[in-house]
Amino acid sequence: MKRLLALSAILASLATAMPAMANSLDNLERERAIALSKMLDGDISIPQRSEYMMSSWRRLTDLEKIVITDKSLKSSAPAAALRAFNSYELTFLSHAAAEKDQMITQHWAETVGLSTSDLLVARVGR
Amino acid sequence: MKKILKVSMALSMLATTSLICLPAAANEIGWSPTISEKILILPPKHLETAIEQDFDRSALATELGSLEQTINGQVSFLTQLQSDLDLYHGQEQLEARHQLISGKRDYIQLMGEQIQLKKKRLVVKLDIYNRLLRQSKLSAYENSQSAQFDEVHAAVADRAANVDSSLRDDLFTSTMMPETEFAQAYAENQSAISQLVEAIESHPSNHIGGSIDGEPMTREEELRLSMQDIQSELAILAMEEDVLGHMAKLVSLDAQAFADDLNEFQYGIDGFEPKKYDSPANNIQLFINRS
Repeated sequence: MKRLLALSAILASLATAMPAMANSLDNLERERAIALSKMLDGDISIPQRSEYMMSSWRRLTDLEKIVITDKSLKSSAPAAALRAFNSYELTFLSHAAAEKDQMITQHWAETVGLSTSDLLVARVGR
Repeated sequence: MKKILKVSMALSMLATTSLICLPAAANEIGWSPTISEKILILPPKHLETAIEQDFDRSALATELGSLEQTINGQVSFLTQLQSDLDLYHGQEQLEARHQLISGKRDYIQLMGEQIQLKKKRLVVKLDIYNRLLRQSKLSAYENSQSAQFDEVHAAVADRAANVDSSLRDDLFTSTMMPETEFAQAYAENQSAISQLVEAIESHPSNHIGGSIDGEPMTREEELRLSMQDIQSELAILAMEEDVLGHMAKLVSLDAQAFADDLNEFQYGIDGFEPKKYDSPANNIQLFINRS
């Protein structure tokens, strides 16, 4: 038991000692997740959502450019970066939406296979 | 005269046997390259120069240089002696011929040593290129992984760059807000990078590398071509050895002719004929006729 406590103490101290290394891809992921959650949030009004999406669009655009120019990804997270690059449509929402001259919301919904008719017939479930 | 005869016989023996012993002297001197695989980053021409400079610092290069000087001196001596040969007569001419044959034998021996040293240099050089080729293959394998990443990344960057301008316009007109500081700096740097890349593409030194049928050569192909050059030099050295072999045969024949002439000089110069002694059969008439 004592050994277990000692081991957990060491692990805890190691965890606090190591700084959280968030790379540019992590930051983009976080911002994208927040944008999508706001996009799907039924508790906010349409103007509120629109306002949030506008500011999120600017941030996403900048973060996507940061990821594209981040040379450290090749050594720090090559597998994750490759996966993200290969899923261009969903990783770089702002740039991919601009290609199709669409808003981010519309582009994301189409990419994941949600059409307007699908959404209209959808029911709220538990 | 007997002394000359003995010398000539010894000479003909030496002329035929000396070539067999040729490599012995050349084995002592060597070239241990001090250059590292880092020279792989150099362009082919400079890579070759770096290897030659390394060789130039070796004991082998020093020995080859001094041997070359000795050979040049020997050639001058032989040329002079051959042109003056007709000026000598009798015993003096024999002595001059003796020196000529001896000089030719020394020349062949020196050339044989030089060929061995040249071979040694080329074999070490070939080893260096083999080592560089192995290193190059290893690097190519390691680079293939990162090349795949670079390819995907470049495709993503191109795709994003294509919509960058329209995206900036859309953002400005839709949000009615000025660009972020990052976006402005990004656009400025992107423009600068584009101009620099264009300048790099059009720079003459960017197109200096060799090519096969218009296609740029890889580092491995460049190294293989250099190795082919070394192997062709080795083949030429093998032919030069054949030439020396034929020269040695001629010297051997010269020595034999010289020995014959020497015998002639010693035993046939005064028209000496062996004495003939009388036979009893020649005087038989003295005994048959009775008077």
